[in-house]
Amino acid sequence: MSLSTTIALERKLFLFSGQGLVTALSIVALVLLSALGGKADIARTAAAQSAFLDERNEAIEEWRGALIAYEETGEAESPYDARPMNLRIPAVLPPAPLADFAGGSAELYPTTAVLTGWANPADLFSRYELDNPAPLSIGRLDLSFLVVVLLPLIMIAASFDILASDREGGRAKLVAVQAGQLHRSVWERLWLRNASIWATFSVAAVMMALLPASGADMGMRLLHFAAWLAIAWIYGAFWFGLIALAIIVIKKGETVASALFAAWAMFVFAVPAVGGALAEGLYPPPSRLAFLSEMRKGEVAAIRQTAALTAGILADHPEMTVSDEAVPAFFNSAYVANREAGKRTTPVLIAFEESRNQRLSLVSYVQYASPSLIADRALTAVAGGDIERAMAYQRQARQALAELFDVIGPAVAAKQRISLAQFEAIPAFQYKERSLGDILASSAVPLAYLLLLSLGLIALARRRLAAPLEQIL
Amino acid sequence: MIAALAQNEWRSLWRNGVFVGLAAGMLALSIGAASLSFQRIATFDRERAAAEAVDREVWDNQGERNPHSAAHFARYAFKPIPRLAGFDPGVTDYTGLALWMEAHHQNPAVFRRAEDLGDAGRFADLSPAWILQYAAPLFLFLILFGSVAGEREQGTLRQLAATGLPSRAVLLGKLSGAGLAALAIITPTLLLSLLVISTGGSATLSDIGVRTIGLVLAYALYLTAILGIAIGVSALAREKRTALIALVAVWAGAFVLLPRITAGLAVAIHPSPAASSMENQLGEASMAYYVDEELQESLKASLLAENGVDKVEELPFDYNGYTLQFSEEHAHPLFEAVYDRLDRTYQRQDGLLALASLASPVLAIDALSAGLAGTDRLHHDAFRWDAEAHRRTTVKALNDDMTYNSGNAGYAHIANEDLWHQIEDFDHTPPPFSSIWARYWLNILVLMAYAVGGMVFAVFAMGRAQREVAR
Repeated sequence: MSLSTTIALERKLFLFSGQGLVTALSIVALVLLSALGGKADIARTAAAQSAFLDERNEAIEEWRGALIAYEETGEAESPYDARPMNLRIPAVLPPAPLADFAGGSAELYPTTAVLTGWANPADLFSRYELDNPAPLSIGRLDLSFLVVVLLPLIMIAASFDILASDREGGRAKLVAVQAGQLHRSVWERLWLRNASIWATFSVAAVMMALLPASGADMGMRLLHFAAWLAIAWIYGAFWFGLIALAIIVIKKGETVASALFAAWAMFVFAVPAVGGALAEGLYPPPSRLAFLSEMRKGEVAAIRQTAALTAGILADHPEMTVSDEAVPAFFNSAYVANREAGKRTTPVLIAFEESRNQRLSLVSYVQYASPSLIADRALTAVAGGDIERAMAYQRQARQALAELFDVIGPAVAAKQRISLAQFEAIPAFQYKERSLGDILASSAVPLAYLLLLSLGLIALARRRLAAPLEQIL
Repeated sequence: MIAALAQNEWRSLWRNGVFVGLAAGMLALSIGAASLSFQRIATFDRERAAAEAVDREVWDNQGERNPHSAAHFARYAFKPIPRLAGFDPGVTDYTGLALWMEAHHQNPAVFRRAEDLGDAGRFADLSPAWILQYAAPLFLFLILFGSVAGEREQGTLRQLAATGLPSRAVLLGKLSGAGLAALAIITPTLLLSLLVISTGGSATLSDIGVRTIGLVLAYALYLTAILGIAIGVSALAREKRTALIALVAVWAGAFVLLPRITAGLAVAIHPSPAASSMENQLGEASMAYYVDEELQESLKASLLAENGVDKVEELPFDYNGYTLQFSEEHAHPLFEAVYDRLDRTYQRQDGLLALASLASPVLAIDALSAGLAGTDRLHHDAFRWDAEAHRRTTVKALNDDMTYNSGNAGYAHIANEDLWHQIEDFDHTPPPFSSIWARYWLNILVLMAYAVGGMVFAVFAMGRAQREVAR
């Protein structure tokens, strides 16, 4: 059977049949729904962040104006004016270039914070847990979910009976007798059906990638998208290989389908769920409540020793002389308490980081048992919806807070103000985005494994298909 | 004859390699889910007890200080976890576990456990309830797709029809056999869950018996509906493969896709306010008295007039302490308005999810099960409001000390540890299910409709299949 004959056959059986058209329309509809939903989420986040930045920057300008006035006149209208404790610097995690392609766990984490002497590293991110937990626990439909969960199902449904129906109806023998090249026809039909699914999906996804997302640089977005699509194709190749092998090895259509559905349920749900549970069981996260307790202990210890701790700070900064200006005592005590709480909770934060790394390390092994987990982690990371990005932001914001404490601390302890030059030297917070190369490097080994597995399955399927006809029939 | 049919169904299932494999997988998942739940509940209890003890200790030992400074340091309310969370954690992982009962602020709860769990189980949350809600239907669909379609393909359905046995009797036999086989697999999940429930949980559910019965009934309805759909689709399909594809499509569409689409739509149509916007609203409520100079002046004037004095220093109580409490009480309705607006948004989002349960029974059982287990948003809100009531009582006690015991010393007044000892620990009892059941009436109706509809569908499809093969 020639390729043109196969195409003509497939046009009737799948590509232009009701089933094929419904499949294509469903894919396009799902892509639109996922992508537009993602874009709406990003637009909301970006608008909220923009309003937050405007408001905070306006307050900083006001604070700066008061400081300039104080430096010029040596007097302030109020003892609260231009106090270093009242300097509040915004720290924002902007949406990733491809954030609309994978929500991942990103929607759980904070994207704004205020760096100030009133905060400590433990409570820097607070009052952000305001989303309705019901939809949050369900999660939203995004393009990565579509690739990992739904496209394999569509591929299975479109392909499982390519050979079985011909076998059971006796047409396979007919084709073998007349054309003598059953393996070629099966392979071409399999290829055509799945290529049509992936072509439809890819075209729709490209269109969505070309629609700009709020604030994202288009060049960077397209670069991330290219990597994202390549990972999606590798994952698609895995399912193509598995489906091809199943339809050749297993004779009955319903057995092919049930075996593939069972594999799908195992790879997509069971292995990741068990892996996550195993990671949680073996390396439970340190208690957040213990973290809170340490913070409270640090605060109360500092409250009781405010004078001694203040004296310690001033001893480290002999250049500061204590001002006799009336400054509310709680400015200094709050600063000292936060500084002490920061010291006390640092080991707990490190323990959190270590425990998270241990869990991630275990999951990075478990993922080899589930191609879906490999694909999901890589797609989410490239799109910027992974936990690592949220954690990197939190680390950078805490670091910026520590630097701010270093600048304002001596002045707060001495009841003084910082100079305009010191203020101007404080950098605005700018999240340092990971490079695409770094993200891909961290997923390189599992992706290479997935690619090899896919090629291996495809090669095995082709080899089995090339076996003598009596074995296939 | 029905018993013979049930026995035959039972035997043929157990002889089926796919069934045995899937059953083993379900059992392994159940054991894993129960172990994890056991560990989670034990950890919750341990951590909460330790945190409560430390909170009391640091509060009592904060040393001598101004009561209002202590009110700012404040105490934390820790959310107790009900026993039934071992079966269904609901939204526990997505709601905060601790709430800072700080002066001037009605804070949201903090520390969502989901943030610490990593990115492995994004599509599945292993718990006994998740197994019954999501895995059990797929399991039933995968083992039952051929229950009637297979007989039709093999020609045995025609033989059955020839015996003159009514289609309802055939259906009853099939349902009994399949139901018993499913029960054999699901029972360990239930027994292991009971074991977990009986060993942990720090919140006392006064009506745990009613809730447990409610859970059993709800899941019975749900699984009855699933059995009906599985056998009905199998009876409608002429071939096993068609039945399989149809059932998997139903599962993927109604159990996987629709909940996510609806959750996304609910948030898009009724967006929750951004964290920074909420922070501003709460901040405005908190500062309402302090930015309202007119109110401050009128309060001052009325106090001076009421007490017949000319200066605040001459008042028989401390003016600063009085205004602190006044500002608190002035903020209460403003905080309530902010949280009520948020709650209305949540209700609209939940309303859409409930509406979508008409097409997706898993949404109905998911919400109802969490409500019965005491792990839904409504129980979390009850905790939040209890904590707020406790905050108001505590802050008032501290402000009153400054107002009436300071001898007009105001912020210079220092209280000793006796005052801290007088502040009681936070205690929370979850509300009875009877107080919130009305929020779940649609879910209950949907489950009942699905159970009845599933059975009616199975009866209709079975009758049609028998008529077709008899022709």
